[in-house]
Amino acid sequence: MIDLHALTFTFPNQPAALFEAFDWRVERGEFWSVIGASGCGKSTLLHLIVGVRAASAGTITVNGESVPRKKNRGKTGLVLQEYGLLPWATVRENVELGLRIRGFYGQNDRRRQTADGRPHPERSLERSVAESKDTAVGGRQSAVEFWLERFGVASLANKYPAQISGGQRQRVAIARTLVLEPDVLLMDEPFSALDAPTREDLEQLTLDLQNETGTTTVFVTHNIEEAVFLGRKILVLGAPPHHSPPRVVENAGAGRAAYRDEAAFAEQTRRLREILKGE
Amino acid sequence: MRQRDILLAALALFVVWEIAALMLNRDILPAPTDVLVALVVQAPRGLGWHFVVSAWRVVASIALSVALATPAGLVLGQYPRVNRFFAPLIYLTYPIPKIVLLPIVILFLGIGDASKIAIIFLILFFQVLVVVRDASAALRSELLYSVRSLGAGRRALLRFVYLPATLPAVLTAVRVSIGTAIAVLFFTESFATNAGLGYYVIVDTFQRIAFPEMYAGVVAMSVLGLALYFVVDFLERKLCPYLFAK
Repeated sequence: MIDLHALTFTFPNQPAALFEAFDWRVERGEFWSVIGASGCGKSTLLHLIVGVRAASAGTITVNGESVPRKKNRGKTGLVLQEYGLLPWATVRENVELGLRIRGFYGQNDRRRQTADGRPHPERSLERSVAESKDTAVGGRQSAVEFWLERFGVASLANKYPAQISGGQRQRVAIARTLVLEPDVLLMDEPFSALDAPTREDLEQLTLDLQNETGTTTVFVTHNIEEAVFLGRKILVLGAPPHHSPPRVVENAGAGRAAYRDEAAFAEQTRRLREILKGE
Repeated sequence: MRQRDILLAALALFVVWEIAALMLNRDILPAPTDVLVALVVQAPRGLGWHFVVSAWRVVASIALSVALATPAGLVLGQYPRVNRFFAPLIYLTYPIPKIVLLPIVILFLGIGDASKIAIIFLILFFQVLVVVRDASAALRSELLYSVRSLGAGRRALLRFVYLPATLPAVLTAVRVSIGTAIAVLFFTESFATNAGLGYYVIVDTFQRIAFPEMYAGVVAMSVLGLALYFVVDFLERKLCPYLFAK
């Protein structure tokens, strides 16, 4: 699903590379945790996969398409720790944003087609009416309402991000990406600014969603317990530059709520801590 | 601030003025009641027309400067390289009191509306340019990344992020510039013209020693400034409701 091949990346004006001929593969439906110290390049890795940063060399493909995915805009969901929501838009408007962006380009594409003079005007009119009935109003609204409900933020739909709690903001941020039915969900320390109970709540929600939808998920964190609780595979990033082969810890026990209380969980966190110390 | 409080403040001003006029008892300070009468009487006889002319000049300048400075500011804010090229130029020209360029502007554009609009435009343009540039440059990269991940390219970012993000800054820039804009308008209308409130106050009524009418012109000028201020406030409440959400 996500394929990094011989990826090399260096920040401009920096002597050392962050990734050097780095290979990594994520299969469809997998849930990965990515763990490492601050500044190890975890976030950059997600930025590269989503395509907001360009690799210096090598290739990145998601679902077989090279990034950024021109044909499937918004199909790689990205949830950040903070500042991802539009402060001037309500919760509902934020959740709708991806669909509105899609509509924004859809309309422009049609206009461009008509300017070329190729398609029949009546047909494109018909199509646009059908679309506006179908997706723009009906489908759009129902998807938005569904995810607002599913994340328990429907009652906050008309509030602005500054008016709701950090945990609620992150629920909105995840809902916003899921409205677009992404095939890949990238999460960059989404819960690290939250208090422990809220955090565990949202970790459970993330697990439930992944079990329901089977969306390929990459969850970046610097928290060992979180990495072990969520990821059935854990990518460990030590000090850069990162080479192949990547350091991967198998963590088959993850994915169940009860895992947190089991001895295997404690053992796995201890192991991961050892590995991180050694890196 | 509630509307009632503003009305009360206006009333207080009115009362203080009335008392001062009574105590001074000279024709150079007519009572506000006399001025109001003059205002009502003169409105259909020219004062109203002068008000419209002045309002047109200042509104046209504001519209023109916002329309040109916003895109320019967005470009400077998004392209550090372009900004680095222009920053010294803006740094040099920003503090120049634009009013001193008036003779030059008149030489090029004549003494009609164009020169008056141009000089106010010059003042507002730099105000708006600088705030839009700084507001768009200050946008967090996290916000841009996350909106790009939802499928936004350059045009969608402009529409869904940059424009709404800079709107409050534009309105603030316009608000703080309204006072200057009207002061400059008043000055430019005080010579070589036969229309506008500045002309009405300085050239027409002042020289006729028609004091209540002159005061009526001053009040009209204040009302113009106040009305624009209210319009900006109204737009801010309409377009940026999140600033007022509690």
